[in-house]
Amino acid sequence: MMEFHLDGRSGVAPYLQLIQQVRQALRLGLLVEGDRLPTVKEVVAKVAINPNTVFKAYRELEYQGLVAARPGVGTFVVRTLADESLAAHESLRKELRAWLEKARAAGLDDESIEAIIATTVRTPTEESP
Amino acid sequence: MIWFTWRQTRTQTMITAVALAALGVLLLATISTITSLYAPVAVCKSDCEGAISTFLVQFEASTAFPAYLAAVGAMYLLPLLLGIFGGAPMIARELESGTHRLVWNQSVTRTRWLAMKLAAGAALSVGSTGLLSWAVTMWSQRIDSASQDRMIPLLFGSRGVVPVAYALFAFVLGVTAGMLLRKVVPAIAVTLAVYIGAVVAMPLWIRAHLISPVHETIALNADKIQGLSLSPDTGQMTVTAAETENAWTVANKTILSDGSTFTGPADLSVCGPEAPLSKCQAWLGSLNLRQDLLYHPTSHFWPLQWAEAGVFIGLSVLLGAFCFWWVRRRIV
Amino acid sequence: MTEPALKAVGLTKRYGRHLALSDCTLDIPAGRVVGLVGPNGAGKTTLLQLAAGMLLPTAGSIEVLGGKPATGSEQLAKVGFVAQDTPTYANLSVAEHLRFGASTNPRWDQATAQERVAQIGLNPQQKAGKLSGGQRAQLALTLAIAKQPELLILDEPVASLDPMARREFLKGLMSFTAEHKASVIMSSHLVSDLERVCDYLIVLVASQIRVAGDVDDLLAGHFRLVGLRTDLADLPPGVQVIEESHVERQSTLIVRADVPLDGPFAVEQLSLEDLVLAYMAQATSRVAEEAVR
Repeated sequence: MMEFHLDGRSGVAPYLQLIQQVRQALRLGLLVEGDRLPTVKEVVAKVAINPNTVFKAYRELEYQGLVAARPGVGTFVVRTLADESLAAHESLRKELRAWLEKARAAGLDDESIEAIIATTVRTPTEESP
Repeated sequence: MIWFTWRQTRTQTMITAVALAALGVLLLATISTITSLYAPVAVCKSDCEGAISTFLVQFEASTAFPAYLAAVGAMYLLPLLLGIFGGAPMIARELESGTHRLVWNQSVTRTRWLAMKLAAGAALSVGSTGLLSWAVTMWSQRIDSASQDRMIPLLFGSRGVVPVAYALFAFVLGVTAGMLLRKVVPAIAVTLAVYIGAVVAMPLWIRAHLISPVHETIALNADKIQGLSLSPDTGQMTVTAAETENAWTVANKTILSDGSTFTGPADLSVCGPEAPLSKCQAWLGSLNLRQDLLYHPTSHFWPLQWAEAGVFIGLSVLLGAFCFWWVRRRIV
Repeated sequence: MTEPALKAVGLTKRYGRHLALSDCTLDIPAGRVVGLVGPNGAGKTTLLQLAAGMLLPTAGSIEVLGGKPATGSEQLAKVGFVAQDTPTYANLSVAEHLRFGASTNPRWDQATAQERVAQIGLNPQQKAGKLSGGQRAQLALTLAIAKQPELLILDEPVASLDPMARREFLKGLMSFTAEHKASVIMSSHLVSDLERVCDYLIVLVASQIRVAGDVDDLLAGHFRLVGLRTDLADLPPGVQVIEESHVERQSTLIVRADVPLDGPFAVEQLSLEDLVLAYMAQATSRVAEEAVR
């Protein structure tokens, strides 16, 4: 079982935050196949969020093929995101470290580095609506 | 809803019950005094006037007399108190504290809510005043029959069904004032003023005309003359004859044979400060004066009671109907 | 659930010469949590009281769940209303309030009511007059929820609550909506709260409805455009400017657009709060213009 939270200042729509948290949990291995997601009622009682938002997030996760709803029982994880990506983490981290060294050598401070990462990550999503 | 109505009127009901019980104790404690004082009258077969007046004198000196006065006071006070502490705050307090916005949003219509409130308050007012009026009327039966003064305005309003109608009126008046003014204290003030106004206006201007009084024109014998007043300069004169006994006199005029009110002028040679009274009486006797009387005899007691009660019940119904209209259309 | 939660046509309310609500037309589907925002005195309370049947309209019509508000006990049973000052009977205890609810509502759910009272931590024997503002609000909400209405109307329910109590209140409210599939219409100044709990938004300014609609649709249809003044001077049809500000060469516009936006300017998503503020600013400047005229 996982727990949700909501960041009111992130600017990310609440249902997207829920989706991201499930994906994050799958990626980190906090949720594995067969786990039940909290019911809509449990989520709204915990997070104070519109039930329709939770429905919407769960529908989207179902559409992504990550969970499946079993009527009257609950919503269950059917696929995990952990394996494939976890393996890649180590080499990616190594490459990032090398890149960071390069950036520092070029005279960028931490703030500039974070800004460049943030804008780069955001650019493609802005172009595709 | 019934529980809730009871819960909201509980305190007033308790206080009323305690007050009634206290009065009841007072009446019960003094009834034996009256019974024993009345004993000679009760056994009297004929020529009882002496016994009756002795009873009345003794009664007025006894410990039961304060209870008698208290009972008269209570008969006027109880409707008033029910009006200002039961009726006026009933709606005004809800509107003042905003709780009407709570109760009107339960599954009970405003009409039903008001009906319950009015029914509860009316039951309390009518029930308690009715009980007290019955007790006081029973308790004072011997005194009333001895003194034959039930028609006197002050006593008339403290006997029979009239106090009950007063109580109903005072309660609905309080409710209406509270609904319009939306504040408890002003509602109490207005209820107090209007109720006292109505109860004072009744005997002064209205009661006498509710049913037609007995109209009598009788020859004025000299021995019936009770008062004479005379202006020595102008000779203007008024003559007052004795009123009918055991009745409530509405008008008492001394008239001439043509029907006009007798105002003199007096023959100053027979009716002067120096002349002997008998001469003046004899002269008056020669004038063929007549006494023009309008009065309500004791037999009018119950018809008048019902007529007056009818007026106040009618007013209460009108105010109540207004409240129903107002609560549905006008209040936020 | 086929009847709309609230349907208003040309709804107008006047107090003497003061126009509190002017020509409002709304069609809110059932099953939504509706946020009503606007500055103080905009007419939010008037709209909610009309919906609850506390007020009668001066002109136009309003229907709630397919019926005229507050006509008959059946209609009353379907709608729960908590007024802004969360009135309770000062001399009645918490338990007596529940009994009051039970004796005046046919669908009363005593178990839920008691559960909620325990959850909030109210002492059933305590007189309501001795409760804090927040506790009173919770008690009033408990009464409205245990009544099991199909539509719950709340006038600034969280205004008197501290952040902790506010969160608890919203949790309770959302549990109720999830469980009963009920609709909620609530007014609030706290857009951050509304962003969490609402999926439908109404912006009411100066007695008029400025915008109303599904939150996701509104967010998807509004953008902030930043670019050169000359580039933003004329926009394609279907783009409606809500708010604009200009400095030297740069213009910043907040627009509503049903068409894809493309051009030599930056297009940014809006937060709900920015969107609300844009409509409020637009209305305020219009009112100011009218006043000048």
